[in-house]
Amino acid sequence: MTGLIRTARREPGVLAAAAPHVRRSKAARIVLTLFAALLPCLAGPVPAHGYAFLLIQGGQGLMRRWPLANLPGGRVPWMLSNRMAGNITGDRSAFDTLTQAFATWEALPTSGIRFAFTGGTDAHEANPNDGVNLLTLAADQTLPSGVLAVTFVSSDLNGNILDADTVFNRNFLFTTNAGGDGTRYDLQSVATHEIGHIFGLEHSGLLRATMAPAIPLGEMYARTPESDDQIGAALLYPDGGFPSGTGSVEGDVTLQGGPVFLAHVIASDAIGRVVAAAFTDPSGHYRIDGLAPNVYVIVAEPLDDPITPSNVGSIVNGFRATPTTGYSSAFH
Amino acid sequence: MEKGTILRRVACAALLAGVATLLAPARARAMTLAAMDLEDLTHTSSLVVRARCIDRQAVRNESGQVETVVRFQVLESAKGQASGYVTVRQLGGRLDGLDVVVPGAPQSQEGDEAVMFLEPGTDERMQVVGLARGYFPVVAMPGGSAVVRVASALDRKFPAGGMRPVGEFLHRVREIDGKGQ
Repeated sequence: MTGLIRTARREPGVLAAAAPHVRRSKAARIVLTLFAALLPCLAGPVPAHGYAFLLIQGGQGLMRRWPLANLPGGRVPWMLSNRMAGNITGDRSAFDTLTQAFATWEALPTSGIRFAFTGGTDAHEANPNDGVNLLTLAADQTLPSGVLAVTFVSSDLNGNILDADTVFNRNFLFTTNAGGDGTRYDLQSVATHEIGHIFGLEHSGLLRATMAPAIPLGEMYARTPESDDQIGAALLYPDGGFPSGTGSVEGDVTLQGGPVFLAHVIASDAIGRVVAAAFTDPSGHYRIDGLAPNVYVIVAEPLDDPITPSNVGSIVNGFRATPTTGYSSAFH
Repeated sequence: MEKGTILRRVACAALLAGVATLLAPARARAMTLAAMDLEDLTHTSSLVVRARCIDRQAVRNESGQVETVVRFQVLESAKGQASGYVTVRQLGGRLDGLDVVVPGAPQSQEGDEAVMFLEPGTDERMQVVGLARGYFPVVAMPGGSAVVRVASALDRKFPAGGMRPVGEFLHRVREIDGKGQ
């Protein structure tokens, strides 16, 4: 492991229900001093980040990813259904908008994920067995109310993704406008998010990330992956020398001596910018990779608001464990 | 109190406040999910129940998709009529060596208890409104009380969010539905 990260390694953070008791390292004290001195910097908006991976069921928490080496040209093929609906309007075609969303992920310098458009198809329903990675904008399938889009990610029991289909809800109004539309959902933003699922990312616990499960009507910020999204993509498909020059922070979160599963652990820099986040596994262990050399503050908080364990179901079910509850936030 | 201790406490409070700001919920948010508060959830649902998962089976539907058919024992109903059991279709599942996950879609395990906001699906089975939005796992707290986690933006009656007793939560649903006044 490389890097100059000065936060404590494998020193347990301690969460308490009523009166948090936190062990602090010398580094943490330094950071807190810095933090107090730089409080005015927090007055303005700051970006939030976070990443997590889709996990297969079975108790091991194995990550899902495409076996790129086995794919033609090392690219994930995708097709677009020829069937269109009237709920998508704007100054770009749906195809151009989706292509831009794919290109955004491909442009990340530290990730080798690549895609290939292989054509239009008359298929319009998700199917995990046809080997076609389909994006469909006018499926017959009725999605649950309130759902903009879903992605079905199919993998074998070793975590190799075999098929991924994204279904957009034709009952919502989307815009393809390059400049967005305050009265419609931004197709490029939603597509960028769903493509993150296609290549193996789960929902983030941080709201400004592309992989957060929520974005306001008309917002476009999810078109651009934040640092945590980028780290997630790089960890799944490292490229450009990644992870050279980066390091990791890891440790354990406990409550009254027992492990805390699915605590949301956040790494912030000295001026309070959230750089990345992760979740604890059933043993209470967390590890945040891909961090540039810096001093970080680590905060552990319950996954309670507004992202909940149900939003990251693949993690809960991947480990087949019950999230720990009944505690409040603490820092280290 | 030592100056250093005061400084640390101030820094701690400020840090947590800063992170809380970063994580603060927004009222109108949706990515895979559209904006839905408790009123939206209640009015969209035809059935709101507290129920326990007693059986689940992954199947292929008519389109070849893998989904999980989950049977729940209804413990309490807050909206609509449920006769003892309710069958819910959940997206994804594990079948024939294929593991299909739909991010954001709840997957219940046997014994799980939840408050669910349900609507009819494409077949006779019910589905959860808004994926995770309409699925509130019931947690047994030390001492035996049952609670659900509520986001602070979910409803004006729960401005602080956090853990709320299931009974209070269901009462609020009935109130919104016009039956709990």
